[in-house]
Amino acid sequence: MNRKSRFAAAAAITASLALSAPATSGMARAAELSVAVSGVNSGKGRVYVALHRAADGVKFPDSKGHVAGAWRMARKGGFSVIFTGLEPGRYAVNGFHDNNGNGDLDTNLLGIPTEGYGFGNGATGLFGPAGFEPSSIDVKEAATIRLPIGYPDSTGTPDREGNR
Amino acid sequence: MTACGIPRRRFLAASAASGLAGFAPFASALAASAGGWGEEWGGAFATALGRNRMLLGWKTPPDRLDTKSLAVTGTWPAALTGRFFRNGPSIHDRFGQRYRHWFDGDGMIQEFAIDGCRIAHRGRVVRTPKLAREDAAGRRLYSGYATHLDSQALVQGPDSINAANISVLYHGGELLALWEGGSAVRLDDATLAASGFKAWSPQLAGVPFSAHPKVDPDGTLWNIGCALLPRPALVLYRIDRAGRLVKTGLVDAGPMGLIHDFVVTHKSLVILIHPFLFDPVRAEQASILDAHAWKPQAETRVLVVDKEDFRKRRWHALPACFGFHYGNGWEEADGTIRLDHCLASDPGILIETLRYVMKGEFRPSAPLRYSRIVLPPKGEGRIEYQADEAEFAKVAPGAVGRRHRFVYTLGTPDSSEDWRFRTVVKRDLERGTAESFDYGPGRIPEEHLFVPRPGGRSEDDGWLIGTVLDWKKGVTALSAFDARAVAAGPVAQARLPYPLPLGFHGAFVGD
Repeated sequence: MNRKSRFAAAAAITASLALSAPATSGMARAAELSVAVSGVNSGKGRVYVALHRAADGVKFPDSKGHVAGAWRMARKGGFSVIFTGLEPGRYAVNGFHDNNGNGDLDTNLLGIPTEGYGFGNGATGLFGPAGFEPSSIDVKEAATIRLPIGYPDSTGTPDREGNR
Repeated sequence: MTACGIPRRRFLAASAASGLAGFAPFASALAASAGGWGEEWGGAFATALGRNRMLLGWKTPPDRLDTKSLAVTGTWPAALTGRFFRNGPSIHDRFGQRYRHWFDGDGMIQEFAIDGCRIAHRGRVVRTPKLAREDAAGRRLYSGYATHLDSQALVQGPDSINAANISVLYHGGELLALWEGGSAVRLDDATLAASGFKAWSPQLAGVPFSAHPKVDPDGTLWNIGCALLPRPALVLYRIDRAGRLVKTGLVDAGPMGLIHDFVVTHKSLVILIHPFLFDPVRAEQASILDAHAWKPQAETRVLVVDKEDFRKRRWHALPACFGFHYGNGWEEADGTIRLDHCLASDPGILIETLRYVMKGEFRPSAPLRYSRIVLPPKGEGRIEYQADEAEFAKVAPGAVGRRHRFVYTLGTPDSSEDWRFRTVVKRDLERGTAESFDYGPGRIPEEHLFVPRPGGRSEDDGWLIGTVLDWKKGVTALSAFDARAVAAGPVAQARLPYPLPLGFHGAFVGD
């Protein structure tokens, strides 16, 4: 995808969000989930958090299982995001620190993130994203889940724009 | 893309290809206590070292070594001035834990600064983020290449476990410590201190950059990067003489294992994929090395890529074989490629010998032999001939990618109870002859590089420079040979007052 369309997508997304984003389901809304984001290493850019439900045939964290999202201006350390009006059930979270503010989780040529990211409960995947189960929590009335953000070591200053 | 809260199209694209790739298993959570070290080998090694001083080559040195002026015997060549750098796994033991393979230890840069009348030595451990975190924690946090921890700290990408322990590159005015599973590490030219990872472009941050880049006579640098996870993939690099990235390529090469070295001709990059293949599923439970399996019935696949157009590729097959290093290769007018390869019949050296030496055991394995491989313009390649045991093959910088006459290797005398390598060999490919110098019992030479004499034109108009461990005396020395008279032995040697751990590769940076 080119740079421009990624910016456009990000703008559309961020415009639709509030700091605590209601779920869009029309079913009973009684529960809320607090996501405790930690480990943010600077006040630059934004931190995006996404809420997912399990769905048949969907490999987490695919957008098809995505039910809500939120972003905050980055703050060193952490903060909480509360998703309210949720249908009771099991929810997974993931997030990333968009340090350069381009609205996307930057990755390298191999698809490895080059910005900080994390999964609910601090879960990690074996060779990629963590699974839904270890990243998730049961939400009945109110629940809290940890979302630590970790940063790749590869922060060398690029010498020149990518030229593939 | 749905109107949802996390703009993660590429994140998802990557995850669809089971992305968020890493070189090592993204193992269990932000481990509160990384564990599962298993049996401790340090005691067994110390006991064995007491009986056999040859094992000094695998003993951990102090983090810093300094000698202002080495004792020199013979006459050091006046024009052989500059800095000779070496790297290799060095911090095998830390926190009372000993790694269980030679390839795991943290890298240490050895610098010999040669200034006419004086030779000084500095040794500096490469303080990677990995090692810094382990030092802060007071224990090993990560699995190594072949030492497996059941539970390791969060691995966010290959550089989380980058040991920077294979080679040194000086290119475009920049000094780099090289690993092969992740990025190159920048070194401060004056202090040798690590100063972060090298990203050739934003897209290449954290992408593997192998330890055997090839530099054409015009200064163009070519390299490969070997990614094993989430799927094996080969990255190709073209970097100009000033150190600027010109282009990259990404090749889905099918099943492969870790690729250590490759060959350039004047037209092509030639990459051998030995049938020692990595299985990502096995990597969930085992080290990177132990997630590889030897498939003797399979063939060695050879990928030939056009330097000018990375999309132009051809494939060849060779019989199953294994090896780490190449000397050089060239391409004839009809497209026939010839290359020399230090080749073994199986990877026993990697799986057995170089693992158990860390416990103080010498386990035999198939020898690496000097071999000539020929790839016709089309069809199957073959091994043209094989000669004696050889490793760490090197040619004159001016011969890279061209038909070469001389190749310099380490070798072994006919009967030796020492470590595998004891001789320095100059092979004359035109005459089919070889001459060698035997360092003698109790000595283990390391890679010897050819350094051209300033203004020298022929492939042996210059010197060989390399280190040798004298384990009986417990010291390492730096040798200089006249490359036209290798059998005569070193023209000069500079002796350190201490031993250095046996390492891998180096670079000479002339004044």
